[in-house]
This record gives sequence, structure tokens and C-alpha cells, in this order.
Amino acid sequence: MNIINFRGGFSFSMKGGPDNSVTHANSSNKVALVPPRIPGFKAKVIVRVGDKVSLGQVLFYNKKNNDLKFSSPASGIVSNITYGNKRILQSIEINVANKKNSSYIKFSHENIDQLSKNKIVDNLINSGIFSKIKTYPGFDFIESKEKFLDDNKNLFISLFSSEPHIADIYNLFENKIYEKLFADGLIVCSKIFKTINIFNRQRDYPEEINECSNNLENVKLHTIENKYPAENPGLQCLLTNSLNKSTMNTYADAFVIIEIGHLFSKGFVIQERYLSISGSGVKNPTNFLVKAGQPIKNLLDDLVENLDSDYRLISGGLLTGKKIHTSDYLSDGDLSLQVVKEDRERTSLVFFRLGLNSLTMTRNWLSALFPKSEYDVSTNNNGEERACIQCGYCYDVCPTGLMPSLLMKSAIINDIEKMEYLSIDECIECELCTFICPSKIEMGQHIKNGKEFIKKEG
Amino acid sequence: MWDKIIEQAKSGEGFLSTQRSLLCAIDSFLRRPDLVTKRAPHIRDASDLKRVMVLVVVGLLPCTFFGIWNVGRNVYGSIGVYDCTFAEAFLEGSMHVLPLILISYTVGGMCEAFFAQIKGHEIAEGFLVTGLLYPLVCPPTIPWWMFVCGIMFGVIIGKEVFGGTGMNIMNPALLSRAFLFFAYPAQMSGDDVWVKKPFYENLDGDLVPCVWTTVKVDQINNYLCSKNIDVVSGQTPLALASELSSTNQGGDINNLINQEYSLSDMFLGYIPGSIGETSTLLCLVGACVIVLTNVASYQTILSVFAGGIIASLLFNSCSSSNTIDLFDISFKHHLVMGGFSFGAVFMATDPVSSPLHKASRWIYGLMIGMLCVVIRTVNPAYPEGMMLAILFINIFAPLIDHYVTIYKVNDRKRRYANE
Repeated sequence: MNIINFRGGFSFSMKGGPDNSVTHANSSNKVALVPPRIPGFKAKVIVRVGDKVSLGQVLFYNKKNNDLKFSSPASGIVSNITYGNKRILQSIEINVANKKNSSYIKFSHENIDQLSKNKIVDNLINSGIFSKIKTYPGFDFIESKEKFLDDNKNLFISLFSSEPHIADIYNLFENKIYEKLFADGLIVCSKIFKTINIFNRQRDYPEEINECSNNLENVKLHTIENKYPAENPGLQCLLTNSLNKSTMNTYADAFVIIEIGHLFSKGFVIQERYLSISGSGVKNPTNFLVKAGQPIKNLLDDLVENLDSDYRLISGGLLTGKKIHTSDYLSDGDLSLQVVKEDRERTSLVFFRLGLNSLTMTRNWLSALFPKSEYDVSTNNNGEERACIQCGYCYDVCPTGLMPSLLMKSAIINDIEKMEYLSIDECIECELCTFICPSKIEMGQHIKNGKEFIKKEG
Repeated sequence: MWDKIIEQAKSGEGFLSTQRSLLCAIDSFLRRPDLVTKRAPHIRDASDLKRVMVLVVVGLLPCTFFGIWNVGRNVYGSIGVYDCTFAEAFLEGSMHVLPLILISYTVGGMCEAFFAQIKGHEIAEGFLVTGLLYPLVCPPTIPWWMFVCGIMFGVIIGKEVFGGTGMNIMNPALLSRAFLFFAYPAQMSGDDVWVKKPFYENLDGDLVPCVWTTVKVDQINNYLCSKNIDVVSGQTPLALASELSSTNQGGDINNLINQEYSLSDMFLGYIPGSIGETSTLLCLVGACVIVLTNVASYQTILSVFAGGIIASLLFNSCSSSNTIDLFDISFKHHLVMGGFSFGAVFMATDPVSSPLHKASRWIYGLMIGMLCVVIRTVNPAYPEGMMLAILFINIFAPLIDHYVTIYKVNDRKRRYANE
């Protein structure tokens, strides 16, 4: 199989990666459903405190789009609904019922082959899985059910992550049940998608998936160079030349396919989620299978010694993840929880050192000549923000061949024409340009603001 | 103690807050700032603008040290002493060069700090390089007041009026030199101003030893008594070439230059000239440092040399009895004379004033190299073409970028087009 190569990118190697084992974490009897961590998301809650809810029951949906439903992570009684500023939903807490009293919403699953396309999509919407499939460009929810029913759409799935410390789905496939569920999910997806592109780094595909691709015409297997951001669906879209106005490109995490498989083979939504708890602040970084909606504090209690202001808690990868708090609950998009040191130490004369321990993509430090197998990283900014000096580093690393610094500048002055001329919507938000910028400019953020501006102006 | 000073400077009250820019610049230079990332990406590359600039300074160090030694050697040479030791020459050179470097950093730094304070910015680290580049492209004989005028012009008009480092359209160090070149031409382009003599003529016409010299008085007296000692002429090869072309009555100009300065001397740098730019060899060593550390683009450096070679070959090929002798100068001479290599390595590669794309850097370098030789050849009044060529093409950099951007955008669209 040929390997897909791409320009730019970087292989990160840093301390605190998870090992290959998968552990079942203890579950708390209090879980919560949190809306996606997306600014501007408005939820319409359809349950009240005290209501009895079942596993997979819809608790709220997106005000702008009724098809984006979010379902209960457990069966139990709604104990609390918290709102933040401007009555933005923060979380819906549920006291989990014991095994005897638990219930779940049933979805039709008798025979996958006989289910109509419409029925499959209805099941996906009502179980809340539909909201876990996103589109590129835009990295947004799917606009409407009608659009989704359209035939011309691709699905991109990655079976690996080159971003540091995100749980590797292969470890889960050691358990054949999940591999089977994934294959089932693929069969369901193959009915509603034109093509399904599965990406993997240079290693063998699991048997079930190989078999799937042999049996199903529209499942394509790819092998891609293992460097960040190879798992980015936007990049995969570009590399497979799928970007096309008439085609909708969608992507989902590998675990979402397992969820789909579970929904259609067992008839109810899966309660587990798969993530890694890792980072330099964690004692034994490893992969976990946990019940959805767990309080994060519970998960981290045994693993992290003193989770105070010295450490930062990140949901997702180190480059694209979001800052979260210990009081939060596990959200569906969380593929990993990382604990990284907040390093405010004022090391002296750091610019004159050889830099054998400096993680760098440039050749400014000696570590470029003698790379270490693992770097200790912290959240230090490594400098202050300065004006752009046009060094061109961002051009070298951009995997899509865009012009980050020009995009950044046109985004700052809100020049829509220029931004669109430079194909701003094709930016895959991998944040490599921000990572490498020696002037420490928030390139990615500026470009995202530019995208927001275009969206707002229409 | 130091923490308290910084705290007070940042507080915005009291005398120290009026020096905030300067103090904070020193502080953040000595110690890594305590900033952490605000949002994704949560980790950042270790490279920083300060590191980049420090690396350029490291690349400049060989040229600087050689320049100091060469200036000292020439001072001794100007009184016919050729057997001075390395230490003597180095010490004598330091007496002339170090004050210039110090003045450049102090005066330029004060201008920077003044503007940074007004604008409420931090001092940009770009000055770390400008402050060293500027003395290296000046003649060692330059009077200090003139030198101060130059750096102030370069920093204020060349950089701060545009908004500081990153916004300037021309290289501030070269602009400073261009200011001197046009404002005080006699001091910048005369015949024998490039070698400092350890004595000067006072108003009464008596020869008095300089204050800033380590040359022994009896050595000077020895020179003054016996006027017929062969001394370093003090003419740069470029000035010599220009003069030869107007006086020459036949004979190959390359050979005539070689009678005075051999090609290997010019390559190694044993010639009079601006402090840091005489040695092509050490410029190439500096080029290795900054290219290998990913600070300068090798595209610019290579294409400047290529441009110089192409233009001089063109001139060679169309030289005839009607053209001036400068047409005949071989490309080997062009590359090692004057500031060609120093300009190619350290001036043209300044990222702020050079274009963004790699492709545009090839074009940009080629244009600089060719224009430099054109100025040198067809305009004998300006023997040093490198400075003017770089400044001129600096202004064209955005234009080159504009067209390369259009090409690249179309190219990318073609690549990812999918019908």
C-alpha cells in the first residue's frame, strides 16, 4: 500500500504518553451531560430536575438545529441543571440509578440490511450520535438532516493520533468485541456514505476492518505518514482530493464508529467512552474505558498527586485541546485528559544555552542535531509576543501549503476578499503555525477569528 | 532587589516606570518571561525571537573579531610596522572598534527605548543585530559624532517611524550607512580614510599621537623620521579599481588590482575596508552558522552570489575598447571586494526587509547581486554598490512577494482542484 506523504508537519515526542493497556475506571454514581465546548452553542433543555431519564434519552438539543440532539449518558434521576452567564447551559447532572432500576431507550436494530437509509439516520439523530459527526471545512456540526440524507458525502476516520498522548484506538481493538463493533459501525456507515476513508499510520489494519474493506466497495483504507497533523480530517480531505463544492466531507472519531456499531447491533447506546489520561503530571499515564459523563475530579483523584494551580488540565491534544477544570465533567469530545505543568519559572540566560532539552521544530537549538526520544514539556510561552518578522517558519510547517502569515495579517484587518483569496476555509486548524512562531503570535486564533468574521458577515 | 525594581517599573508610578521599557527589556533578556500559553496550542516551540537574534550575533562574531584584529594590523601598517604581534594588533583594533560598537548599542538602544516607552511597547530584540551590523559596515576612521548621527537616523527614520522591528521596509543598519554615505561622502568614500593612523595633525600642523592608541611613541617617531617606509596605502580595492579605470592606459585591470592586493588577501580579508566586511572567508563561516541554525535563508545568500557572477560575466562579455576598464573586472574580484559577501550573508538575509516566499527570495537575491555589480561597474562614483543595491531591492521585496503569492495561490488551487 502506498503511503501518503505530506509537506510540513512535525513528529512530537514528549514525556507522559499513555502505555498500551486499557483500564476500566471506577464510575461515580453522579454523572453529567455537558454541552459541547463550542463558543456560542445554545442548548434547549427538555427535561426538568427530578425527571427520571433513561440511557440514550434526549436531554437537550441545539436551539438552531433540532436535529442536533444530545442524549443521556446514564439512566437515573436529573438532580441538577446548572446555567452560566446569559443562561448558557453548563451541565445536566444525573444521579445514576442502580442496576435494577436502570432503563434504556431501544432503537430498532433487527436486521441492518433491511433498515432503510432514512431509518438509520433517524436512529443516529435520536441517539445523539448524529451530533458527533462533524463537517470540513468549518469543523462544524452537520447543517441539517436533509443535507445529510444527500448521497454525495464522504466520511473520514483516523485509527491513530499523531498528536501527543491521545488514546490509540488499537489498544481497544485488542478486545475483539470492540473490533467487531467497529466493523458493524462501518457496515452501517457504508449504507449512508458515498465513501468512507479510513486512515492509519504505517502498520497493519485489524482483520475485521480489512475484511470490511474487501466486502464493501466504498470503504477505502489509506496509510499516511505518521507525523502531526496526519489525523486531521481536513488534511486527509485535501490529500485525497475530496474537497469539492458538491460533496460534503464529514469526519468522526474512531470511537464514534464503535458507538454506531453498538447502537445498531445491540439496540441501545454504548455507555463507555475511551480516553487516555496522560501528561507529565500524571503518575501512570494509561488508557481508560470509562462510563460517559464522569466527574473529572473522580477520574484524576488516584492519578494526580496535587492538582493545584501548578498544573493545567487539558481536554484533547496538547495543540488543539481546551483548558478545563477539575470541577468539570467528561464531555463527549474528550479523547484525552492531560495534566501538564504550568511553568512560570524564570530560567536565566535561556537564550544563550545550547538547548539540548528544548523541544523545537526549528534548528535554533542543538536539540535539532541531537534529538531526544522524549522531551519534558510545559505550558511556558518561551517568550513574549512581538511583531511578525516574516521569518517564514509558518510557511515551512503548514501541512496544507497555505500562507499562514498572510492569512493572519488579512484576518487581523478583516479583509474578507483577501482571506477568501488565500483559501482561509481550508485552514485545518492544526495550530502548527502558532506553535512554531518565534514572535509568539497567536496565528491560529487570528485565523479562527477571521473565519468567524466571514461567517458572521455571510 | 532586581525583582522589586522590575515590579516598580511595571507599576506605572515613580521614576522607575519612566524607564519601564529599558528595564523590562533587560529583565526579559536575562530571564525567560513568566508567561504561559493562554489557549491552544498549550505548548510552544522553544525558539524565540531573542534566540534568533542571538544566533545572528554569534554568526557575526568571527567577522567582528577578525575586523578588530585587521583594524589594529592596518594601524600598525600605516606607520610601516608589519611585525606587530597578534595581541598588539588586537589590542590596538579594540581601541578603535569597541568604542564604536559600544556607542552603536548605547545610542541606538536609547532611541529604541525612547520610542518603546512612548508607544508602551517592549523593546524589540531586532536591535541586537542592527547595533552590531552597523559598526561592522562603517570605516574604522569614522568620527564618533558622525557615527552617532548615522545610527540615530537608521533607528528613527529607518525603523521606528514605520512602527518598529517587523514593520520596517529597509534594513536599518544599511540605511544608517547610506545616510553617512550621502551626508558625509568625504569621510565614507575617500581614498585613504579606511586605515586609521595612530597620530593626527593638530591646528598648528604638528603631528600628535592619538589618545586612543596603544602604538608606542617611538614607533610613530620612527615612521615620521624616515618617510620612505612602505606603508599600507589605505585605499580599498574598490576605490583602487575605480581610480585605475580612470588612469589606466592599457593593461588588464584585474592584474593591476592584484599588484596591490592579491586575490587570496582579499578573500581572507587582509585589506583595508569597513571594519567587519573585509574577510569573505569569515562571512562564509558566519553564513554557515546562520543557515545551519535556520535563521537566514540560504536561497538569498546563494542567489546574491549567483547574481553577482552572472552580471559580471555579462559585463566581461560586452567589454570592448570603448567601455571603461571596470567592465573587465572578473567575477572573482567582484565577490571578494568590498562588502559583497558581508551584504549577501548578513544584510540581504534580514527577514524583515526580505520577501516571504522561498521563490521570491531567489529572485530577490538575484536582483541584489546583479544590481550591485551594475552599480559598481557603470557608476564609478559609487564604488560600493552592495549597500545601494540591497536598499533598493528591499523596496521591491513586497512587489516580488505580491506576484509570487498570486502564482502560489493559483498553483495550490490547481493542485487541489477536484471537479
